[in-house]
Amino acid sequence: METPLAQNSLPDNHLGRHLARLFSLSDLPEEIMYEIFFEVESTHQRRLSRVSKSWQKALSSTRLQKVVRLDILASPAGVHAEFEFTSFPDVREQMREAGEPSVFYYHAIYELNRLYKLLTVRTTVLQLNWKEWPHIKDCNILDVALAWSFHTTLARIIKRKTFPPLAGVGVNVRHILLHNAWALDGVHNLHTVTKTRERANVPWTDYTRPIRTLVLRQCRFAVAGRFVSFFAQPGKYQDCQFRLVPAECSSWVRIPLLILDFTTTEEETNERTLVSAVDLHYERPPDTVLETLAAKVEALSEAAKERWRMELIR
Amino acid sequence: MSTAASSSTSETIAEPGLKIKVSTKEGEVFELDEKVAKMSQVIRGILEDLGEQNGGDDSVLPLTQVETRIFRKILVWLKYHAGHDKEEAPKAEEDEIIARFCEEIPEWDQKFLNVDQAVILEIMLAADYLDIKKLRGLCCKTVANILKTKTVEQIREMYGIENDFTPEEEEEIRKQTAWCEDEPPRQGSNH
Repeated sequence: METPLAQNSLPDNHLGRHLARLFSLSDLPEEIMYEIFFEVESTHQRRLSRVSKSWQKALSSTRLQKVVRLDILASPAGVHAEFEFTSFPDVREQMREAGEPSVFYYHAIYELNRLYKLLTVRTTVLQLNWKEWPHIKDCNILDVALAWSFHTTLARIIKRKTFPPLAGVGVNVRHILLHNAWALDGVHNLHTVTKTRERANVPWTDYTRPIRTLVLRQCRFAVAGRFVSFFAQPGKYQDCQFRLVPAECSSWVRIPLLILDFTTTEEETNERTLVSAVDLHYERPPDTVLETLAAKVEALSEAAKERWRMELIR
Repeated sequence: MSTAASSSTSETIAEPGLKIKVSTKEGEVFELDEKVAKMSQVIRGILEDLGEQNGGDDSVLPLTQVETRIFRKILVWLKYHAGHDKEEAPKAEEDEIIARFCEEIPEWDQKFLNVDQAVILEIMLAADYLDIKKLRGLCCKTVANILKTKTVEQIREMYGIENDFTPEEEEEIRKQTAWCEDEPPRQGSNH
């Protein structure tokens, strides 16, 4: 491939001149350009294809189609605006009452149409980055829970392949990363990774439910403790393997969870794999979990501890 | 092994063990701890080819594509990560993709790369030359983060890229990518 930046003309500003000299002299390897583009979210990739013909060519590479990363503005709509958090059972009740808000439907269509434009049969990894709705400054816990439900529902629709425009497009997707990532202030949340390809012959909806509990910020500390205990006692969850991705997290604030397999019925799923933060909050985590958590926290850098504190007061 | 100029400054590393000498484009010689040196897959490969017999003599590995000022920066990075990173088992391609998505740029590396973009690119190229995958990836991620915040026009200006689309082609591709910048349905609306 022609090096995308090799034919640059000289720019006006000093930095640009320096860069142009650098690129023309060093002949930036195409592998580096791919690596840079690889790190860019998929809609940005499309936008960047307008830069020049060589960038357009590089960005249309089949290698880049393997992974689709899409930022999704999850709209926490359809809830009582005045709702204030009182208790977790109350949250559960409110979520039940919220049903299927119409704006979720339209928002899902919007996001699915965007996905349709990005997915190809070459796509094997799909990452949905949930970004908080920028127009809402004060999301309450119910808002966030509903937004997470929307997000996971979207992934379910994709895998179900019953949505006509998507039929067959994402057939080779093997990993879906539900990356509950960027809050407005840049603080990260827990996220999950779901691997489903081994059960390609089983309808996805037969064995999964939205993993809404992970998003409940106020109880994430407890949820994190649970995950820590899962790793310490893997035998307790024989039908569901968990592991950290990557094994050594740079920031413990973000605990990624990889679900390698699912149980086959909804009851089993509820019982074994998806620990409800609502139920979880009633009981004190085992002392071993608390000790592990305390040790983890002690090992954190001061900056990471500060992020934890920020999280816990959100 | 060729021997580069050895009259210039040497950096002494306090740790005991095998020392590896390398020289930069300008001929400046650096003496590295073996662990630090081997974070470069290129140096590791050369040493393995040579049977790691170079430590006891005055042989110097010539890094002819790396300027001294950039190598000094890379050396800072190598020393820090040699002391802090754990050995990672090779990952399958897909696992590596997922792991990369899960990784943020660590705080230390953010500070390290908080330099002029031109310097980042030079570090990136040197890391590529030396085959230091992690450093190259961090640089790429940093540049990608910059690209996300710039308009197409700003990128062209910043990198001195000529817009080689005809007006008709540009209009066509603008139409094709317009959906990327569509606004999502707002809260409270039904469409």
